[in-house]
Amino acid sequence: MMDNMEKLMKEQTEAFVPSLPESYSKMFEATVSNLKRRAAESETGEKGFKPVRGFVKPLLAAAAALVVLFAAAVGILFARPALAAEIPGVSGLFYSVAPTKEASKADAERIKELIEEAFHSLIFADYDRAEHCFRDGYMTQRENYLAALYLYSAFNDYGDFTSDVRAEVGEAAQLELGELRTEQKAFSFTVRFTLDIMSVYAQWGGGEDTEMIGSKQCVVSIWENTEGMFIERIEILAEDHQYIIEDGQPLIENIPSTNEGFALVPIDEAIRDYILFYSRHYGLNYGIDMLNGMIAELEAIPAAPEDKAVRLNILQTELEKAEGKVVQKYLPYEQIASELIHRFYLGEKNGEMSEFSDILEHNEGTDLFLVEAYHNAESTALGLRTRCDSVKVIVQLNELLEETDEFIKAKFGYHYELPYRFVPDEADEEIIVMSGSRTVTLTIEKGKNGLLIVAVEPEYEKELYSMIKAAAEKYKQQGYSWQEAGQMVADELHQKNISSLEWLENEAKKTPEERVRETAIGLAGELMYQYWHSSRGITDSAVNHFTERNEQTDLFLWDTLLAAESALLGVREPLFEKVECGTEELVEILEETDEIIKALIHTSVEVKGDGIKHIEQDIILTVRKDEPEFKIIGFENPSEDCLFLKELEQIAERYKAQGCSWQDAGRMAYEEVHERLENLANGG
Amino acid sequence: MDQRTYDRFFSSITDLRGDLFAYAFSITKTREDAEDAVHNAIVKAFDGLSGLRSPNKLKPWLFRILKNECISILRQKKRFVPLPEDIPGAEARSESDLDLENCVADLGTELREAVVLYYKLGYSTAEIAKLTDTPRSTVMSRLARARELIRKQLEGENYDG
Repeated sequence: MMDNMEKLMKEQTEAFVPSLPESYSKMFEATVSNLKRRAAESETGEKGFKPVRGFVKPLLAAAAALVVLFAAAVGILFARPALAAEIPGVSGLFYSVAPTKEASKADAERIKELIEEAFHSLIFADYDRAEHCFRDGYMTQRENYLAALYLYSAFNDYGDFTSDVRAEVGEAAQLELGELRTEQKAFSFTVRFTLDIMSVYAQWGGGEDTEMIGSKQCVVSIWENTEGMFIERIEILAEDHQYIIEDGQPLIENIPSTNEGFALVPIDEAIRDYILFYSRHYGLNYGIDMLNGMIAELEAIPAAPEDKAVRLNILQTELEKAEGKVVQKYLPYEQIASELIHRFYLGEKNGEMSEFSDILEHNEGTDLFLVEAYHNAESTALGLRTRCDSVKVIVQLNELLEETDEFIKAKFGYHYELPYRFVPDEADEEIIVMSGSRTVTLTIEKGKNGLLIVAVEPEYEKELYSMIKAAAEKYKQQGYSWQEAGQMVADELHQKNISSLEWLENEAKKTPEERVRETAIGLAGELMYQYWHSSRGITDSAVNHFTERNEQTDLFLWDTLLAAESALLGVREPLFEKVECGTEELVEILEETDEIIKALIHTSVEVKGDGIKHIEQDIILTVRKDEPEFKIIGFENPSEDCLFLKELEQIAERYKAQGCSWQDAGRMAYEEVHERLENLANGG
Repeated sequence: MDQRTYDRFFSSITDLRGDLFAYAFSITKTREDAEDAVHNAIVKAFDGLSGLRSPNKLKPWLFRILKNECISILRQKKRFVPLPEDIPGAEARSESDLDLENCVADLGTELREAVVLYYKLGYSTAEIAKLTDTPRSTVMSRLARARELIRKQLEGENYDG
């Protein structure tokens, strides 16, 4: 079959690609001919010269000497471009003729050190140190100042302005520079790299972990003179940073000197928050709220009175502008929208469904919103959800979609903040704020007795709501009314809550030993799922990640690799289109100590295709109970239904009998089987 | 650039004359576009030759330039222009110069690329990986997938290429 297949592939491919057309051959020859001519012209200069009279010779000799001197000078400058950087009249000319090229390794190293030094200094607001990294006067240029502020706040805010991520309390942050791509033209360098902002947090079980919380593309311009390399410009290619560049303009113009700005950055949270206000993600109402807060905070900051006056003046001016932009006639709609969202989260906080009937009509357009609200409240009441301390919501009408005398339909943006109180083991109480910004479309009826919301449609991808909506749609398509569909979905969610509660109660009754045993046995289903999943052609199987290679697992790992390779070589058709999931059932515990558990386990992997539904196997697994990551340290397959394991065992036994180590025997067994498969693939 | 470098460049591209066309055709599926792509790629490669550090990298570099040219041409050109039947002399331009029933023609671009390089031009999977800048296992997967799809088509099943 494989011989035929290869032959067919060759035939089909030959039929697909036409022979070289005559037009192509002509084009090719003409193109090559033209390019050869260009190559020849670029190699030769002007041909021939005229004989000169005697008196011209000394002149030419002098000119030649000058040319040589000039060439030497140019040669020196090209070798050491930094020399040209500050020579008046020469630097510009030299720059214009110098080629653009990749910086040398040595220069690239120096540049990396310079950038790391500068960025660390800016991020920790150590401006004395930062100033040494900049060319004279350049640190205080407007864009560099804003970049410094941005870096400081992005880093210390543990996220960017449009991110909902809030860090665990008590963590630090670090930055990592991605690979630098550096171009040099004369004494100037342009460096491009990715700046990753990492959050470092302590894990509850001890140790530390990091999480990437922001990644920014940066471009840095560097200038070199005889004293060294210095930064001229930092550009951060991030949308929120662009807002700062555009919208920070009036702020910066009003500060008498950017040197003062730098000096005050550690207490310049007002400026940072002011810039945050202009982040369009949060909107006007949120901004007004922030500005009022900033004004109050600024008064408490121990800065020089004249500097505070400048800032207060700026903030007051911006507050007036922002309030002036508020569209008064939208206020009532924003208020009712705010009520709706606020009560939604309050229900979740209190564990009790809020009352909505005074602001919301229960109909097909609002039913699912209520289903979700009820579910969230019930989850809290049953202890399945942590209660937050308070609810803060700010809403703004973003876009009016439709308005008549009877109703309006509009998109509302809202920002929520839900602080949660935690008391980690042996630590002080900590507060973590969950926050986010969302959009929802509301239809609001303008009744005689006031406003009433008649439709609610979240615009964001919210997993639970999407699931609720999909489930309700399915029931409606089956012919149920919207009321019945909503009730059925609500009942399902209730059942899920009850199941979760029962599971929690059962879990609570388990001893730690029982939990550990369960986790260890649970690896079996995952192991065999990964085995069959990667047998479809994935050579870097996840099996490798949780199986320790030793004498008891070696051949199984080779078997896993051969399973994938045989599919790729085409000698074993993938038996199924998809591998779904693996489950396990404990048959018998064979051995258990504090360190390991060895058990006979029956596994079942759900698959799709070729008439197969499940792959049932018996395996004997030995697991080392290393929390949090358990490792498989032994594998046997008594049902002998792994793909190549039995064959590998027979071959490896032969090699071991000859005195080979288990490692060599395993590898040689793999190579023998692999060779057999390759021969099969090549029709041998 | 010295003459030796140019000579080596011209010698290499002449040797690759047929391969370049076949590769370009595997992506564009028309002779005309394949010709244009090869022409543009050769000129671009010539112009950018000073940036190439090692002659050993010429081939994969050239193939990558060619692939980009093919994609650029496909993006710019309309693939099919339906014309009203009542315009005298109007003829619809077909999407491919080929027999559309050819199984390889129906494959997706990446599978077709791998198939032509392997079965028509005889490159090994390791060489294809270098030419196309993809991992070898990906090349093997693509060939396996192509074989599966063509096998199914030849056996008369419907599939999505």
